[in-house]
Amino acid sequence: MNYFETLSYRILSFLFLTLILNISTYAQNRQTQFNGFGHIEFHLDKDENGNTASFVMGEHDFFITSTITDKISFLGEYVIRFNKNSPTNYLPSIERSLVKFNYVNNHSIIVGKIHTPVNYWNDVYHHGRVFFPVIDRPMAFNYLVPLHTLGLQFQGQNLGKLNFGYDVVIGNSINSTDVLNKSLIPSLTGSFHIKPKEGARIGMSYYWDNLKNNMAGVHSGHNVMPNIPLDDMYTGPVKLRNLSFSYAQFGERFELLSETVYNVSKTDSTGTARNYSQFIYTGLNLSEKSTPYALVDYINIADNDIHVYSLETFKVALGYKHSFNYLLNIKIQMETNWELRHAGHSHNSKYNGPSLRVQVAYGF
Amino acid sequence: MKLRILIVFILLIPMELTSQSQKLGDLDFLINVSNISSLSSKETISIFKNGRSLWPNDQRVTIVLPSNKSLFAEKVALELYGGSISSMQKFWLALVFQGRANPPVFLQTEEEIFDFVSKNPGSIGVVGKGHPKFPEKYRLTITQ
Repeated sequence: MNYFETLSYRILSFLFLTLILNISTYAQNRQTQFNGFGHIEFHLDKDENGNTASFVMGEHDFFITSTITDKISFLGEYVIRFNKNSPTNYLPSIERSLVKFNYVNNHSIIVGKIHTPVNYWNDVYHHGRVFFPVIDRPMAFNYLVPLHTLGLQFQGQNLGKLNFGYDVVIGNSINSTDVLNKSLIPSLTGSFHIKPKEGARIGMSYYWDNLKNNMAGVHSGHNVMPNIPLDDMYTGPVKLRNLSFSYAQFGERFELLSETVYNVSKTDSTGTARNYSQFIYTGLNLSEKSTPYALVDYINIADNDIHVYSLETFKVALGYKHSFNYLLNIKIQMETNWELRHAGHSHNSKYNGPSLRVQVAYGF
Repeated sequence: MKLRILIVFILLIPMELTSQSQKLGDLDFLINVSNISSLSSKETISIFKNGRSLWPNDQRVTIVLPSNKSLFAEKVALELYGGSISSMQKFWLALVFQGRANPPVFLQTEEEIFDFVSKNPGSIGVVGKGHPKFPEKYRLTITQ
């Protein structure tokens, strides 16, 4: 090896080492973390069509966080779920994708697609079934609660002795897509909570949205009742208001979650429809791993609602959750529900169940 | 009538709240933030539970904790988080998943934690009490 070759080798080695050191330091500071969540279920159902027993592939959720600088971070949540209309039977979706600027201690500005912070469940559990205390979301999430907003969020948390937190969101309307809002008027969300003790959170929110056109089955929010013919669906403007109240207490021994929703949809055709729902979960931690629980879930959507159409359903369930560790649990749930009114059905009332649900939820 | 039912539901919610008392006597803390070398036990516990996102000098708070294979993780989880190692990890994973916290750094040995804190301004770490190689330069004194 001559002098120049030796020198070149040393320079290259030095550059390579410097690069490696820089990458490792940068990686240490940047802290990108990947997580995944998924679930598989078994359903034993009894309804008017007879009995069915099915294994069910649940959503699979890929979750990324990255601290870009001391004050700026990124969060992404991407879900793949079953969809019978897809050629592969599965479709991906962006559930959350946001950049957060932590401009001063415990205060941030967020831009991107978020879970609308209207209540405890939507703000805390998202798509990670391993965190769910029960198998399913409250029924209000299918019809009344705005799930996602794409826009600008102002967030504060852990402020003062009561750990006060606020979220103010200006975003696309619930009938928008992820690339187009159909009017100049945004949706507005104001949400406040306190955490007076470890494991407890009390919160309230108000959601305001003037939809230019009612739209069925938008992923950002509400589904119209099944069995309503597409041609019969209301497509005019809707004034939507949603008031939510949450109480959560996840103590060492006792767990309680109450989600209350009062919702108003106003149209020129049928006037003001007043809807409400109540979900209550209680769990008793016999040990860190073992939690028997019960839930009741009630939803009442008025006859004159033409945003999602009429429904009154009451569900009761008893269950047991066994947590192997923080990344794996199994839930076994017996449930029954009474469908008292449904815009798509002509019957007066219908009893479904009892049904058995088993869910294995995991993180990786 | 419907609104009344709603109000009754809300009023029926029991307001029993749990409280935890924690002592930090079996732990040593270290910090790499300029002008901070002591904190009260209340402040320290609050910081380790995501109570602060930025230090007064605007550096990001980086929490450094023992991983589940670490010999002193059980002690840290019990004294600082009032539970098991699994519950401590669940606490953080849930917060990160909510988008309300940056993930902490989990390291296996005391030496790894000493090394990380000394090299990363803004970090605050915890180890079992009395390690012979504890870097005194980064010691965080806990006051009452």
